[in-house]
Amino acid sequence: MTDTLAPHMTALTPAAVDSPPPFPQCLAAQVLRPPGLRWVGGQPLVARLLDANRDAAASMPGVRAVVVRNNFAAVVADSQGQAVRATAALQARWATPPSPEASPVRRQTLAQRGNASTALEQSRARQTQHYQWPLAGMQAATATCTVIADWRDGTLRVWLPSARPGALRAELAALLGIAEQQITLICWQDADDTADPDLLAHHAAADAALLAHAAGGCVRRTLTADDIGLADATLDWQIDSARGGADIDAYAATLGGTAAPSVPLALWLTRTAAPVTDVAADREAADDVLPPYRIPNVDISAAGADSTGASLVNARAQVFAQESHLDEIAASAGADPVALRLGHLDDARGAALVREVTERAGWTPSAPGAGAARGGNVRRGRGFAYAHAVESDAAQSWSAWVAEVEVDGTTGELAVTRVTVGHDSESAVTARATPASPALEDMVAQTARQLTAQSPTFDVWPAELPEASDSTLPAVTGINVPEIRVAGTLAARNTLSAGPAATLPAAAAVANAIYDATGVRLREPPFSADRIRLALDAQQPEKRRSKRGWFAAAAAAAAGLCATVLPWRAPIAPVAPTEPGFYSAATLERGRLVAAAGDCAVCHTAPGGVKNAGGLALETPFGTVYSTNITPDVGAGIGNWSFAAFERAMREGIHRDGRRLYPAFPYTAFAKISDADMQSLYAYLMSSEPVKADVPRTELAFPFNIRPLLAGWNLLFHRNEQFQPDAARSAQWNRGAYLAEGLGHCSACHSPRNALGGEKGGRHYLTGGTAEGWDAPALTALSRAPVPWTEDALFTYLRGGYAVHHGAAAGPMAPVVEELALLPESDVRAIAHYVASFSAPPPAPAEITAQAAQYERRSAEAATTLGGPAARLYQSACAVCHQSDQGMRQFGVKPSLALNTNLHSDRPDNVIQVLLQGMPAPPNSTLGAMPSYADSLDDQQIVALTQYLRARFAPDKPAWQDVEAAVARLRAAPAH
Amino acid sequence: MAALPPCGSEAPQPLAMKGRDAAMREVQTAPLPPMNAPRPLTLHVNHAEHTLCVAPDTPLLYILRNDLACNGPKYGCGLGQCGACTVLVDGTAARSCVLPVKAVVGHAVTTLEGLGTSAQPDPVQQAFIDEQAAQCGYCLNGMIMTAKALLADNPDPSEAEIREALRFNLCRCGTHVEIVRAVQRAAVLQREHAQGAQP
Repeated sequence: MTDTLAPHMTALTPAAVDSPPPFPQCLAAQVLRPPGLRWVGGQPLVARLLDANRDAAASMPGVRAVVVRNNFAAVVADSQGQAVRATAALQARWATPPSPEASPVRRQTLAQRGNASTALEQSRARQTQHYQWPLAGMQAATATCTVIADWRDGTLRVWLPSARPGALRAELAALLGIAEQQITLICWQDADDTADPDLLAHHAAADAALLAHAAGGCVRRTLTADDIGLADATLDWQIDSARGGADIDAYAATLGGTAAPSVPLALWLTRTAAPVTDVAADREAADDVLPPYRIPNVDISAAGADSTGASLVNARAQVFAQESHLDEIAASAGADPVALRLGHLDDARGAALVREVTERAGWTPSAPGAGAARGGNVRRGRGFAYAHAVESDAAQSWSAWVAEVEVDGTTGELAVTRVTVGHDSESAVTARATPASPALEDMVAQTARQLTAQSPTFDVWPAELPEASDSTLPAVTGINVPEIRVAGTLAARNTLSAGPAATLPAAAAVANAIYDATGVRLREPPFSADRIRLALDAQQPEKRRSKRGWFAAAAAAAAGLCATVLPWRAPIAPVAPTEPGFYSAATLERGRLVAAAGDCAVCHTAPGGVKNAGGLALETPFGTVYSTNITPDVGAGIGNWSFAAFERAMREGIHRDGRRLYPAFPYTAFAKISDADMQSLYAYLMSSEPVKADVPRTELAFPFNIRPLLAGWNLLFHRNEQFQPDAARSAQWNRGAYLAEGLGHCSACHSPRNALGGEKGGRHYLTGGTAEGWDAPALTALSRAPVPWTEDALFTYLRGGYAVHHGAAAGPMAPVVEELALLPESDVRAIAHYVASFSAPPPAPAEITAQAAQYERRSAEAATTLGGPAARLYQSACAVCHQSDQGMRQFGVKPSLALNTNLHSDRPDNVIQVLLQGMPAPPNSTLGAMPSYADSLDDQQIVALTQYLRARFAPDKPAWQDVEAAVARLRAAPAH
Repeated sequence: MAALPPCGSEAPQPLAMKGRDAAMREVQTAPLPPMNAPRPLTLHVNHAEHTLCVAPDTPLLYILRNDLACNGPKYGCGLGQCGACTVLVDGTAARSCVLPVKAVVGHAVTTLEGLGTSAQPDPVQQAFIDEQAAQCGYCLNGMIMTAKALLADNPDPSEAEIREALRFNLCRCGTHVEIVRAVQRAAVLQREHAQGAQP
């Protein structure tokens, strides 16, 4: 495995000698990103630049140079804002981006030994797995990489965060048409950088060099993975293996997905021919992708990925896949993972390192997957991984990791408790310090955190120091700095800072340890609590039973369909209405709170109608369901319902007369209500004023109008069980769970539903759904909220209908908040506590404030590049109440749109709904109100405004598609 | 649909008048009104209390003009965009055409009528007269009320600050220059007024 192609490595100037000019002396660069940019097979799909108004851009204030070369268009200016405005003035027109189908998928063998395909076909003990690696980490859209280039007196100096320039010097020379001797590369890193330089540095360097050369000065280029079309790229390794006993016979690995491109984007855009790579180096690279084990039949190939892009990023992905897979082989063969590797390791130096590390870690072979429990539901495990990297002609390195972890079986929280790491290197070059030069301990600790935390800094290897990130990682995650033991034939600590190669085995070691602890195999980093918990849930035997039950029930439902003889349930005899004054005041008060927590009035009240008299139209995918009258009127309401009839309706979804109710009525959740609460709710409803108001009949189309079929639905999706507290959780959590899962029926709107309208549970629980034409956002870690929700923010929002970093409750959520206001504060706090437990612990308040400020800044920057009628529309209709930095303070709040979840979500529906309907009656009237624009803006204007809001306030998100259709659809739907 | 409960004569008695349990029963069994049915609301407008039977979601502007005969605030766009309807709520500018009346229960509302009289105009009103800042005058209520809110926050604003404060108050005649001058003069008058009042 090679992680560099660095023939000129020794020419790097040490960082301390030469630091770049300070930022204010550097010109700012803005490079246009071709629309639809993405990478296929190591080549970018680049739209053709048809036309750009170079003169218009050049005449803008502050502009120093405008470069338009083939498909590369960029501006250098005194400030970033000026550069952004000038690139807008270019008014670039692009051809339609080429479609990926145009370039055929190449399949290419990288290395081969023996005959893997035959051996695989003949084997019985064969397994195939996929392993995924997010190329740019978790913060692909925001993590930046900065490079400074200075062209002066015929020499180019480039400061970049990479000690491994590879072919970069030759590439820059080709790009600028100068000699390689005129270029000096200096290793340096900007303090604000958080992105993986291995992925981005050479792209930024090429941009900076090209623009510095054009402007004749010093230029700073900062880019993100998104800028070069790599934000969503994922590497995919498919591994097939065959074994006989504990001997691996065959191993075939196929690289798919998008590999880290080796040639900078600027060369592709300018159509500069990349310098020919050294054939010898290529062959060596090919040899090195072979796993470092003695396996007779090996086949390594690439499908649709760039085979030559052998960067450190690609190497990490490969080691992760290979070492995870070896662990899986060991598990299925019942062998000790270390023994399995040693049995296939011919390399004496590597084997020695493995022995030393495992001895130091106190590794003793034991039954795999044992996962020793330690108090509560915490399970312990340990994992091993090994990597051998050939770094250049002379240098190679060996790394071995033993990671020990603790996994909380209930929450999925993962703590890396101890890492034993050994690194051995043959490199003669000692001055190969990485820019940050972190000590090995720091690097290991950081790597462990990045792998475990749902941290936005995943896969950012040499970035901020651990001290800096301490404050942002809450203690409750248990991700404390692991105890680190160093083993190996190491000469000195200095050699250890040799570079990120030492952390190559990290991801696999941790994944293997998680498997050892829990039996759960994670094949894609990061290993967040959320992912582990979901995997644990999927693995639990109880859940499996319920899945079998599902199939049995499905069969039953099918049988019912054929026979159509599902019985109607018996009616329950009507009773005389309750005498007034029958129930105690205490019971009635309790019932009032139960009704408020259950949001009865939200659905059972028509717009402008009497409370609880029914008639609200609920749009479902199966047709319109009208809510019923639940006042105690004998004819129109539930006045002659006995408690038995009421309870059966609440818990089983069956009308007093035996008819089945549609699950738009959330009896699936109400089944969890306790007996005492059910009784007081009955008392409260029966004691309220009867209203003689008939509601429209619910008439769904065939087959949904056959109500007996709901018996099958109930078998599939309904379990009539009261709430059971979780003894492992706090009283507050259980209270919140009872309110949210039962009465509050949060999941009725906030969980997705399947094709039959059943709520999806398990890992889909609370991951977002729809309600009456509005999106109900995800309440879990899948939330699209730009700034993470905290328990306090949730409480403030549920209590007052507004959270400063998120916005106001609108649509069907507004009446929910209005009802929650009737509950005791402690109950609302319990709900917030429970809901917050579904997300990763949020960062510290200071961090949240900083994140919010960053979103505000980005949208302010985006605003400078946008214009046109939609911008004027925004300025006249929206800005007075939404731009807190403009005009006078107004009574109520000025909600920030840059932090609004709806503008960052995948669908524009809520934004369109709010524009059309406004927020005429927010739950807390002191927030102010928003007028409806349905009558004053036409469809075109709503569309334009929606798209403008997206571009301005969520500039990192793609534009919404088909907004026209969404506006037409939502305008046609009845308002809630 | 049930008949709306009549308003005014049958307004609920204050709870303190009855025993606690009886009061509870009263609340529990009272007819549940439609969400936006008229009900008695007590408003504080221009230092006086008014109890009115109104639908709680009605825009404040309608109540001010139609029920309380305060015609200073104007109906301009009806969408909170032009500022002609501006009033002060607890001293903060508010666009009364988009503010539900229930939002100001418990808050002090000041309209143009609450600033000064023809005989004794408020310093801001006096300044607008002195500078002859009106052409058609439709926007002036909003300009004056917003200026009032501005000067409460910032007694000595620069011209740029005045322009920023008034950027969302639209004037279609184009007397912007006079309006800015009027606010500058108002700041001076208000300071003099305050100094004169002190000794």
